[in-house]
Amino acid sequence: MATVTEARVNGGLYTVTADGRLMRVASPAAGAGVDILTNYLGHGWLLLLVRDGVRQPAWVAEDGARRWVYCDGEVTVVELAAPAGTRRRPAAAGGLGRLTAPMPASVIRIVAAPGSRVAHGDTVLLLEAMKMELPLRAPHDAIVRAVHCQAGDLVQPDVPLVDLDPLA
Amino acid sequence: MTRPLRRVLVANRGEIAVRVIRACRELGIESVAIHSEADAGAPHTVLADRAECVGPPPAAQSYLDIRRVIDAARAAGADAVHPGYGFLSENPAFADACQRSGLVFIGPPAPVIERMGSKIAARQVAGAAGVPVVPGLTPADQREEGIAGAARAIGLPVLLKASAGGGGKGMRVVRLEAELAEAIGAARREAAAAFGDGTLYVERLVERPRHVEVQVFADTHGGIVHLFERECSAQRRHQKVVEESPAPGLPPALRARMGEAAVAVAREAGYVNAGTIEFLVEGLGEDARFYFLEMNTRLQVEHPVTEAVTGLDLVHLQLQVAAGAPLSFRQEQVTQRGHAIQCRIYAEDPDAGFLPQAGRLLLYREPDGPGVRVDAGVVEGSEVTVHYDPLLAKLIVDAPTRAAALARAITALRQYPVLGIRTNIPFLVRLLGHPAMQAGQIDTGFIEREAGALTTRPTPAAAAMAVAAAAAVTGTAEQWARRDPPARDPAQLDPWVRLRGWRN
Repeated sequence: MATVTEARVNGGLYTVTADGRLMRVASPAAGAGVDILTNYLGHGWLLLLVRDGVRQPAWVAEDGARRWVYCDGEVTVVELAAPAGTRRRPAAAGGLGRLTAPMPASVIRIVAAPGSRVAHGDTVLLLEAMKMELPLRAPHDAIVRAVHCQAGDLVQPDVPLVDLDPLA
Repeated sequence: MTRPLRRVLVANRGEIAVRVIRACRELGIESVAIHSEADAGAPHTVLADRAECVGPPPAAQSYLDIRRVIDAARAAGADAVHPGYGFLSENPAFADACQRSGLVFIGPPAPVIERMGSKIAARQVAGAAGVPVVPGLTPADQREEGIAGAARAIGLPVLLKASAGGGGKGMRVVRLEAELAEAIGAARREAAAAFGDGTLYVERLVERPRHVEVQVFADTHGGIVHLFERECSAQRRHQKVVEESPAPGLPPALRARMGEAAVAVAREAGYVNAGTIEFLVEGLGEDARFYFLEMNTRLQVEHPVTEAVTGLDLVHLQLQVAAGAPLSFRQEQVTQRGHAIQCRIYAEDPDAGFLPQAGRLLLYREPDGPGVRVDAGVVEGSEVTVHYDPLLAKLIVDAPTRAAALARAITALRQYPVLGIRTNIPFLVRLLGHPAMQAGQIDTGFIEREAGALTTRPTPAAAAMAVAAAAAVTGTAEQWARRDPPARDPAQLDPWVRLRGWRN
């Protein structure tokens, strides 16, 4: 017996009609439905897209509210709508006045000390990850208000490392 | 005189440690893994017969700590050490420490590593062997003014390199006077961090060169052979991405001269065991010229393509030569058959400037089939950390022709889902499909020039969104597992594949 469920992916609404392993996914935006055969792999999914009788594999991994999809040689990461009552992930802490690490990294050197003036594009902080140097550069002319790390620290992404006061 | 190896400590991690441990097992030699605290559950640690912890996660306090590695070898009762590539593999002090501790170092003698590791001395060796070199020098004055002076004397553009090692670490192209100061500082810091030695080498930049290297092998009885060439021009930030053998479009006469030149350099150096002579090739066709670039005194990341076209197992040969056995074949018996391509699978996001990625591999499935080999240092569930090189695995394919090998590589990459962190697999699919790659006409600057087209992630396909929607409503993986027995990958649905291990 078929069941009909709605899913929100990257903000778009999809209607999924499931009948055993076979699913038909339709969305107003994507037009005609896509037929999908689902198979569980153990820690992930192997889905077979069926188009005009031709099958194409797609692999899916669960990552909280995210889904990682490998299909047709490309990786796509999508966000599912959060279930009611759960809070959305806070936006990245980096913003106009803050510098954050793009990935877990270690701090090699503080280039600009608190109180110093930096120009747009100047390196403020030097990070290193996987033997590569990652300079954190000033996104605009600014005065360094505070530095929240020191050389040798292991830092995580989305955590403010440097506060900047933008210069008009 | 031969002295069979009984127990080999593998002073490395990741895919190369796994590779060496397997080879040891095949030859009836016991293996000892070393691991940092971060790698206690890593595949290489689990696979070896014995394992010794050598310290905390940072490589400088574990894999690069000579005293700890030697202590581990002693504690495990090893009689030989295989250094792999990277880490301590080209550190003469390590080879020397092994020897002084009564351990066979599986590689050349320490003085040879030292001589060929110094760019000046290596160039002198090449010169003495009658092989041409690219103009360059290691300034005696290593202060910023000294390096900048050398760059001006050679004439911009120049390449700054770590005198102590390769792999693109500490390497910077300088085209403008104004870029010199920052490039010198960055190259020196990267060199110091990667090799513990910030000494810089300055070299004339050859524009649009191809990087073609020749594998050599020497025993302790004076036998030296070359095992043909590898084309390694597909590089980003001087880090190789795709390697192949034979080098496409290399005139046969030039290939033969390069092979002879490589053997001449190895002989002049007094070389023993596996080594690679790197050349820059400038120009095309009959006008092409080659220059000695440097020698890598170790096994290379890309050795499997040589194995695929020659049918030789280079790690077996390394272990046999280290035990004192002579090479069992002569130069004229080595043939180069078919075409092999290696793709390096990196934890990096090409669409974000090749930024290294860290995190857990939520889903990781390797492709297989005829002519497909995967050398991996990870499994599904592995945590990729920031402490080490982002190389996860290598896909090696071989086929009778280059066109067939390219098609096989692309097919395999499309059957290679690695999810949970970004990898360069989609980039590799685009790169191998690029007309210049298909035509075999790329130089070392190709990826940088074509970065826009190669690294732009397309907008999510409707199909990918539909797939995500389907996965979203099938419930969690655990719920599904209770409902039905797990299905398998398409490759595993073929009964002949599934019954792998059976003979008929």
